[in-house]
Amino acid sequence: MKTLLVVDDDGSCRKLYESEFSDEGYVVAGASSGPEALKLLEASKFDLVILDVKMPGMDGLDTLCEIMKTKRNLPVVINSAYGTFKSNFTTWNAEAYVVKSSNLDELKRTVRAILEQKPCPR
Amino acid sequence: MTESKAAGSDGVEVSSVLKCWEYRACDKLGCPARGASDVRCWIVSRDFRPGVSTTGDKYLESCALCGVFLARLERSVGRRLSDGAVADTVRFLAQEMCLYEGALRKAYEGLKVEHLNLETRIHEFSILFKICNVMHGTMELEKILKIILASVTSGNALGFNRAMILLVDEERGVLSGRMGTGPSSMEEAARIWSELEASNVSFEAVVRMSTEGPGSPDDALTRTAKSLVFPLKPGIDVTVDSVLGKQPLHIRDIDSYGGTISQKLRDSFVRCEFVVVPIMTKGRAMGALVADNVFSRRPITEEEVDLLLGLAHQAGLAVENAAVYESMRLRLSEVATLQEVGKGILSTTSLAEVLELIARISAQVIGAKGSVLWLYEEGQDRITPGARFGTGESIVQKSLTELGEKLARWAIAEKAPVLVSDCGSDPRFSETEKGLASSVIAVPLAALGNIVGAITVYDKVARSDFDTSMFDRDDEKFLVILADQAAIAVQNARLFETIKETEKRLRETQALLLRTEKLAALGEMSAKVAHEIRNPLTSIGGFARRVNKNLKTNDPNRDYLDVIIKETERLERILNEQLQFAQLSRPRLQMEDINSVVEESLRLVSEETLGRKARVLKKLSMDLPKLLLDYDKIKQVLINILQNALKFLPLGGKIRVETKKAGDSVQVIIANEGERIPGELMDRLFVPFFTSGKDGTGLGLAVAYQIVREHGGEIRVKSDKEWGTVFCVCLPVSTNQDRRRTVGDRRARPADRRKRFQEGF
Repeated sequence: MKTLLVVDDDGSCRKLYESEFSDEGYVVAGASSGPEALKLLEASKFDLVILDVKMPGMDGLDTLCEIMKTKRNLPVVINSAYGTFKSNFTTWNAEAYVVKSSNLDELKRTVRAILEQKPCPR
Repeated sequence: MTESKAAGSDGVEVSSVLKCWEYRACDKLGCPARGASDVRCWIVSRDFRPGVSTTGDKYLESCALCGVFLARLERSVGRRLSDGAVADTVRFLAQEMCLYEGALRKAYEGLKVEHLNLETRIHEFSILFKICNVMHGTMELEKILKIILASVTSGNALGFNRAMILLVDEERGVLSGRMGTGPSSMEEAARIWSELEASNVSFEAVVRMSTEGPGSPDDALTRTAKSLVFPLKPGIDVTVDSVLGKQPLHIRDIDSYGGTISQKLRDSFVRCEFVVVPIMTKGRAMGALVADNVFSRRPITEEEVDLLLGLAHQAGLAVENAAVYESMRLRLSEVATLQEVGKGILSTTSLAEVLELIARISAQVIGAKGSVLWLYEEGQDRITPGARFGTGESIVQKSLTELGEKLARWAIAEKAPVLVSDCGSDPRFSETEKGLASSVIAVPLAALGNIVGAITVYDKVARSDFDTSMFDRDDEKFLVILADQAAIAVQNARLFETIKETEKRLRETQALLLRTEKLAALGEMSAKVAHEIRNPLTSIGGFARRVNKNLKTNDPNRDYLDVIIKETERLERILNEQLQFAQLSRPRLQMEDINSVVEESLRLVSEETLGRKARVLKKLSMDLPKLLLDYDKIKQVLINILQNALKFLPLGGKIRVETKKAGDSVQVIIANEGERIPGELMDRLFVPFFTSGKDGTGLGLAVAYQIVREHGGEIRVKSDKEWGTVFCVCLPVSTNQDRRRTVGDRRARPADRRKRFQEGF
């Protein structure tokens, strides 16, 4: 069972992702902010992180940097309502960049591809 | 007995003469009668008229009757006198009286002549005075000459038959004929005289008549006069001799005249006795006046010559005054011109206008037939005509311009004016060039040490009777002053032009900046809005899909959920369009074939094209250069414009898509049939969120505009009769080979990226 961490300040989004990805057969945990996500990552192992960028306080980019400091090989998928961060090279550290949409097909495809293509090194 | 009071026709009273005789006779004979006799001596005078030869007899008669006389006579003799003796005595006395009368008469006649002489002199002086009055009343040479001639020939002035004036041209060293007046035949002379006699016009009226009308009169004698040109050397002609000798020459008999009468003068004027007087002023001879009485054959008297000399003297003064006045007038007009130039230069900053003004003034003021103002670019050693005056387009004028360029180059090379008064005698000119212009000046325009151009003028037209038809130092001097002003004006105008250009560019940049700023702000705002909306939309749509998935296939609620899902998708599409606008990042430039971009765009809108049943007319130029552009963004531009065109296309209408090269840019033209766009809408086509009222966010064209601007190009739009709307995307053919690599496809090579990151990228 692959474990996913969904980081998003928007509760309904988080809830949607949790239910959708649970349906896909993943174990999904949610975090509403960067610091909370870092704490959860510290406490337990995850196979992939779905990370929002625009968040109050510590935003997704800072969170990504922090994650990369300790877990360099953990795949992160940036999932933002913005497309603009594509040009910010911090986001290059992420494995993928998917713009938010009510249709989660693309996100699901991307997550599956990353997890199947590269078995996560522990 | 009655005294005679009759007055003689001469105005001397006859009675007083007789009285005189009586006393004289009585005195002579010692007769105490002295008018006291009963028989008065002057009894005889009743019908006496001086000059009648019977005076002696009458006197005798009278004395013989006078008792006192007889008594006295006899007493003095001492005896009685016989009648015969008395008669003898009386006769003797009568003779005496006659002699006396003769002497008296003579004295009287003398007085009378003297009186007449005086009257003539007075008359002459009054004529001269009148002439002077009229002559000094004008400053125009033409008029003065006319007055002189009228005075010489008028019957109530000097009364010569014909007259002619020649003036000295010091510059050319010649004496040349100017004007003449007088009848050309005996018949004409007779007619004029009879007319004048009948009309009895005054001298002033004659002068008035003769000075009417501008210019010199066009009569035979004036033409004759103008044909006369004599070098100022002795022995050439009698007129020149008179001028050089400063004295009148009265030629009574032309055949026996000792001096020279040139053949020219003989052929044209001289036929009989004539007189030449020099026109003098301040000891300087300015010309000569020739007069004769060819028709009336009246001999010319010395008095007339004197009078003519007096007139010539006054004429000299008047001519000199006119010359001084004319030169003052010219100076004044030059000053006025310089002022006009200054004003003109101040009032306009348009280079073209300044140049026109200078070219015109330089020609007009010094009386040139034409002028060219040259502009010189020192760095490139290039000289171009900036403005012309008087020069047209014909071949001769073109050669003239070439001659002008040669001169301008001389002046610029020497940094000094070039004056060629007489091109014909200048070895620097070729024969062809000599035929082009007779006299030229070229003056360089120097401002602040820089040569900015030159003025060339050619072919002088004499501005007044004192001016020559060749340029001289005065003209050059004036042109130099003008050139100084002109140079500054040209310099100023050039600077102003540069400033204007800079200002224009500044304005454009500012406008662009403003637009960019506005758009940036707009982008930020819309991105923010999009983000805020996108999150809830994601949840709404996501959950709706989720619910939909879990419902049974035949659940009636599925339809409602479908509506929610579709509407959410539509909203997201709109957001995407917004974000497309907001997310305009730097273009990724590659050398691309614009035709393939066009083809791709057309393919992408093919469904809509079919929907509108549109006919697409493609006309793609095959020899277009590759362009440095962002393929995806330009594709977006073309799609947006095509979609806009399709939106307004009537069903089954035509769309024209054309590519072509135009100057330094490649144009993609997209035109659609349909209604014309009103002008005020045209201005706002590219304003973000401006829509026609049909569906759309109003961002499509704004995005297109922004992208094309980023590529250094522009979008033009127009409306014409055939096509409702014509969009033209102009992209510069860039020589810029910059192929900056921007964000690559990160998903393609994740391992590389990580490696770079680990190495401290």
